[in-house]
Amino acid sequence: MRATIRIGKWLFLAAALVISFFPFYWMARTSVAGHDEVFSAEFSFLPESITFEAYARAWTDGALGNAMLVGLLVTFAILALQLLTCIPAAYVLAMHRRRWTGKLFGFVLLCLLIPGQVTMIPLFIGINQFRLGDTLAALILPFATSVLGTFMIRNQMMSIPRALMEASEMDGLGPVRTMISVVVPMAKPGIAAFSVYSIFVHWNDYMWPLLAARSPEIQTPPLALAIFQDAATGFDYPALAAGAAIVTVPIIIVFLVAQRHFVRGMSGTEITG
Amino acid sequence: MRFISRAIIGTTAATLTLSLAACGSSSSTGVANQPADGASVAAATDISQCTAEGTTIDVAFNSLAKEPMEAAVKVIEDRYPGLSINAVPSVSTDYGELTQQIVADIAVGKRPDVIMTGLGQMQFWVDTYNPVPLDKGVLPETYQTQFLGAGTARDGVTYLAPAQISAPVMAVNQDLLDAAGAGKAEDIKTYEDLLDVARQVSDHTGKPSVSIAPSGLPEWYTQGLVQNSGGTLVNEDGTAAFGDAAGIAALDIWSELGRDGLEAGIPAASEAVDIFTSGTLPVTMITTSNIASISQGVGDKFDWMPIKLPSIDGVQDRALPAGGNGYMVLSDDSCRAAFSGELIGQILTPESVMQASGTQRSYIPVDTIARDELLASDQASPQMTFAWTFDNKLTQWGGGFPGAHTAKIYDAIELMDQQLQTGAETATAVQDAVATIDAIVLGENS
Repeated sequence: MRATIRIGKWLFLAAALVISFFPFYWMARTSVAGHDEVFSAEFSFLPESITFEAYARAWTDGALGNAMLVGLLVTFAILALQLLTCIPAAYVLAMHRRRWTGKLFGFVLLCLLIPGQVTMIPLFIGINQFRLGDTLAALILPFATSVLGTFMIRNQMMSIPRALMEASEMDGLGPVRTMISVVVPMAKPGIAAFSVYSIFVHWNDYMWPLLAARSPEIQTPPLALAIFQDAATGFDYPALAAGAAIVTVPIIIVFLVAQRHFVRGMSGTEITG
Repeated sequence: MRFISRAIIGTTAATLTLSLAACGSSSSTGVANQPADGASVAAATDISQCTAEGTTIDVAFNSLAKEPMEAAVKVIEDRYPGLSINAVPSVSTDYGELTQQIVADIAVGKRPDVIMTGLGQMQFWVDTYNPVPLDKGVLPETYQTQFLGAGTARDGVTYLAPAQISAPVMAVNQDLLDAAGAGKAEDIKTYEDLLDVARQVSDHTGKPSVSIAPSGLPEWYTQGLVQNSGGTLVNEDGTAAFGDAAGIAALDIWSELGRDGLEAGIPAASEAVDIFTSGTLPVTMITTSNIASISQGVGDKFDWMPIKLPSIDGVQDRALPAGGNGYMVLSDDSCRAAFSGELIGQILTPESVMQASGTQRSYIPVDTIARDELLASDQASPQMTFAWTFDNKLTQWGGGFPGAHTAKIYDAIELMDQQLQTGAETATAVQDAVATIDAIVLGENS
């Protein structure tokens, strides 16, 4: 009986693995198959012939090299600014509780309920009033902080035992030193989880860069891929899949590097008290 | 110490303030419904009265017209020394996203002089941003003026010069018809013909055989079916006109296919095109602009042919709504409007139309010289020839529904189309949609 359950679990996990990986496999398969094979009526696990022509087309026609450089710069600049702003905010909200911090945190949570569409045009107007339209700054500054980041990191910090704070105070550490030397290391899973999330979101963001980045030289990877989505006449699926495969690589690397922290951060299992 | 604590609290406050600005920053697909920001001039002035030196024309367009726009800009800048044309294409080929970009630009005071727009959004621009009426004098003599109907708004004024245009048609997999002994694609002229073919093929394959997808292009397909059978989509006052007997009869084919189990139930138009290209779907509604990509995808895997939309009475040369794009002038200066008109004229010369339609694309050429050159090329297969010689009169996409509410109105039509596809009772579904649309329109007018 126990063996059956165990086999069942393994089968379930195997099925979940196949379901998770199949879209990636199909993307890779489409990227190396010919254009006519994309529309084949017969299901074939392997392509009839393999060509890497779509990768060359995606790289050159989509100018993916430049787009990925811009994407990396924008994504990591946003992340740096967000950590710089969210960690102190989370620290105050979590570790220096006053009568007003609860209300302030409620206000922060309210912000999560505002849909992006509502603020997009006002934000665009604001950025242009600062004469930052169509610049890298326009892609970065609106995301200099994150409500979700403050929320996630604050929640992680809440699980840090207060005794540690008291101990660091007795050791003569000030609030900044305590934050840097005691709280941040212990909140690493939450910070890592938010970092991975932030990188995912801003690497893949399409709508804001579409509004804010008009010059080809500051276009991000999702914008670069748009050239293969001809709304009027049809999609170039092999080039689109090849381009998607290329721009997915940095995200996979980031996830693999931060995987352990990400999982712990999301499940909140790092600090046991 | 206190200073440090205050610094941290200050940072927190700054962060929270920034949060308020940034918390909504994510994705969006809707088009902002901005009030008119300034207005265009009533008409362009005589260009001989204008000074090119120091004048800059801003053009908003997308990458579908990259090559013809580059060529046209060079010609106009050479023709008028000192004139500068700022024309950077948007990477997106989605007309809704292009509109969103332009609306955002206008909101920050960057009103472009020339815009490309999807024909489905023309009335939005007319009702919201007061474009300059098209100076037909700038069009080349060989421009096919019967297509200007697609650029003529509800008020009867032509504001837009259609450039890359298409019309709703059907694609038929002849091999699947042959296998079922269902006759020739070109013999499908009436709804009865279509139903006969669908029944024969479905009897043979055991599967539904026709797709008219309700999403993607709902209002366009609906308008195509209604007009093709002699109905009207919109009344002069902007309310829905397709609730009459002609409209219900025109749309009944959709429901009848659904009721008889002949409708394939594919939700989106683009998916129907992909599935047709795979060779498993016998008949589907498409646009002429799809023909090139279908040809490329099908290759010689099977024999297929586009046909004109069948109608109730077999008449197939009625006016159809035009899809695709065109150019309008939004200038708030009469001289910039004049230069903008010149630029539009240049985009529509035979050479530019050749680049815009091209042998790899199947837009209906708006210029006769370009059309003849395309037909003489080695790409002129029977399918491409069908697209390049499509000559039905074309009308405005949306038929003149008020531009400020087109999104809501198109949603109501899409819901009706989804109901019809599943075989809902036609009169009920149509009357519900008409009532919804009229409430939207009359609410606006009152």
